[in-house]
Amino acid sequence: MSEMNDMIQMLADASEEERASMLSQRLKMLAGQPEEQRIQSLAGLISSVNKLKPKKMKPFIATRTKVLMSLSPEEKEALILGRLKAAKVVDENIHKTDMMTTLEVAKEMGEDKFKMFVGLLKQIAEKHGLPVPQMDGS
Amino acid sequence: MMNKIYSKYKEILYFGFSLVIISLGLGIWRFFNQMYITSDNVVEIVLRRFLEIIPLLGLGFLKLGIGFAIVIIVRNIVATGENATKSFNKAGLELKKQKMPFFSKAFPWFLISGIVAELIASIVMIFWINAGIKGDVFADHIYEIITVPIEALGVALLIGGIAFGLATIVMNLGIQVNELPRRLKILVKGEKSPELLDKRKLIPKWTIMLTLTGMIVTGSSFIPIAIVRAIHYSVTGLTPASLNGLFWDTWIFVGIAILLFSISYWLLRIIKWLRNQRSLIGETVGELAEIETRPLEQPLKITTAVHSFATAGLTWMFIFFFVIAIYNAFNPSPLQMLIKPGRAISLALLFIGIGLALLTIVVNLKLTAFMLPGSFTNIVNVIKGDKKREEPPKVPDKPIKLSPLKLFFGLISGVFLVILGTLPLAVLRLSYKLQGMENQQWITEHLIGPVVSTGVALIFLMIGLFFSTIVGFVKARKSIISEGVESCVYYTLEKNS
Repeated sequence: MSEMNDMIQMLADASEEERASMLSQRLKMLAGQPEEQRIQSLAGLISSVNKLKPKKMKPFIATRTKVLMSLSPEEKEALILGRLKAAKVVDENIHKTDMMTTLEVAKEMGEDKFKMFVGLLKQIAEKHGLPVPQMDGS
Repeated sequence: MMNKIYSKYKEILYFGFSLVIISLGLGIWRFFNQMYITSDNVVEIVLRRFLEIIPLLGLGFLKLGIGFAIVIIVRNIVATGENATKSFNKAGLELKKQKMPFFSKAFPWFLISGIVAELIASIVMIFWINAGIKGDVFADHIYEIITVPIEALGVALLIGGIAFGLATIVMNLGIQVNELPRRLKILVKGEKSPELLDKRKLIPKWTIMLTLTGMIVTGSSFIPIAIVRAIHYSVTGLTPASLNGLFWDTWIFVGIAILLFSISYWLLRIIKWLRNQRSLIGETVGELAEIETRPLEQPLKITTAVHSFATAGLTWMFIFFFVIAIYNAFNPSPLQMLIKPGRAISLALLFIGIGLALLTIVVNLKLTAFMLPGSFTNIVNVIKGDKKREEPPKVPDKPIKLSPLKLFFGLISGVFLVILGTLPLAVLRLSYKLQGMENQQWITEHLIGPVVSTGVALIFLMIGLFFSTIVGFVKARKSIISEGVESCVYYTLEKNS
């Protein structure tokens, strides 16, 4: 997990443009992974993001959410599904903090985008029989 | 246990830097003590010996920090290869393990032995201080004879360890850069197992010879003078007043310059492999995914400058050694005051070259981080039979913008400090000498060491932070390649079953 921590720290320290470019490539790669591997990779990613200092964590999650929203529907579904399943692999607090911050930054992106994001989360969770995330991150 | 110690390289770097800063403060105190208070008192006895050893111990810890960062880099590169090999083995690509040369296992021990030697020199220094305070001339002389060569041995092992660590990176990176695209192609096309590359072709022999030469020259630099001093003392019972210490002092700098020159060339080889990595993976993805490959950006101009700075730095050191240090050894003259600034200029040129090479490495690593995930996505799509393709990343207009310029400017500040701490003081010394103010000229001379050490410490700290940035990228590369190859193998096996 330590290499993931370093990678996330490096991305968090990079400029917004560099971070978006590298994250976009990385998320697309994760979307293409076999499901089990993808869940593990995403669990590693959210655990590492959780280790960032608060002032670095929010901008990182904001970039990640923006990049996620720009991906193709298949990639979005693969990543959101992987993320929802990763909730069972990581500590509950890590999952909650990550989900709450994600919803917070999605809200800051505008009402339309927020509705779209939450709608997508609900749709994928219901489709795969997973609990729908609440606004408090649970 | 050792892994935990290696991972503390940043703490080691800052500890070394603080030792040098403390020494600078004490050096300034010594200057005022000699100039305005009194000379030859206990303070002077203690500070003289302390400042002979502790700044070098601080620089030793800085070199150890750089070396440990390199150990972490090597381990991650090796683990990348091992992870990929394990995945390829699952697909039936049987690959034999390569036998590594002596230095790839020995270099961490060079580093540890180097710092142990410097610590021993520091312990001897305590006895040396004690002998100085007690006025025990014999012990005072013996401790000086012992401690200085041990110190030089430590310097040789530490810088040599760094150079051989870089050589290990060159070898492992060279294998992976050439093998990974070939194996991916074989995996996707279902061909037979490849023959392993001959690792001897990956490492330039002359750079290994140069590194060894630098280590030997540096490590042995003070041994002759120690032997001559010991014989002189045992025969005459007198402490030799002058044995042209400056000559041997310059000889160790020749050794260090050779080592830094070889380090520049190891770094250049790493740059070559990093560019090759992007071009070979780009070509492989282009061929497998049937997409147009984008040519790489033009090599950065600063890379060409690395050759120039390294050559100029080494040549300058040789000129100073042969023209002034040797001449001065036989005909002592005021020219000797030019030796320290001359050496400083040489080191400055070599360090600028190393800084430029490190800038280029970070740029290449960033460009690799941009292109690797997309490359694996495309290969995975080919294996899955998915027609979707990722566009190769655009070539940036100004790749230099991706470099950590702050660190380079920090290094340049260190270079200026080294030169400024030497040249003005040399001029001041010369003017005191011409005015016949012998005492003042020696007092000024004593300030050169702590000021130059501070400049070199700043350079080492910045180099250490450069390597720390590289550690992050190498770990990211490990994740991406390990996961990417695993995905490729998974989908290949799924397709074949």
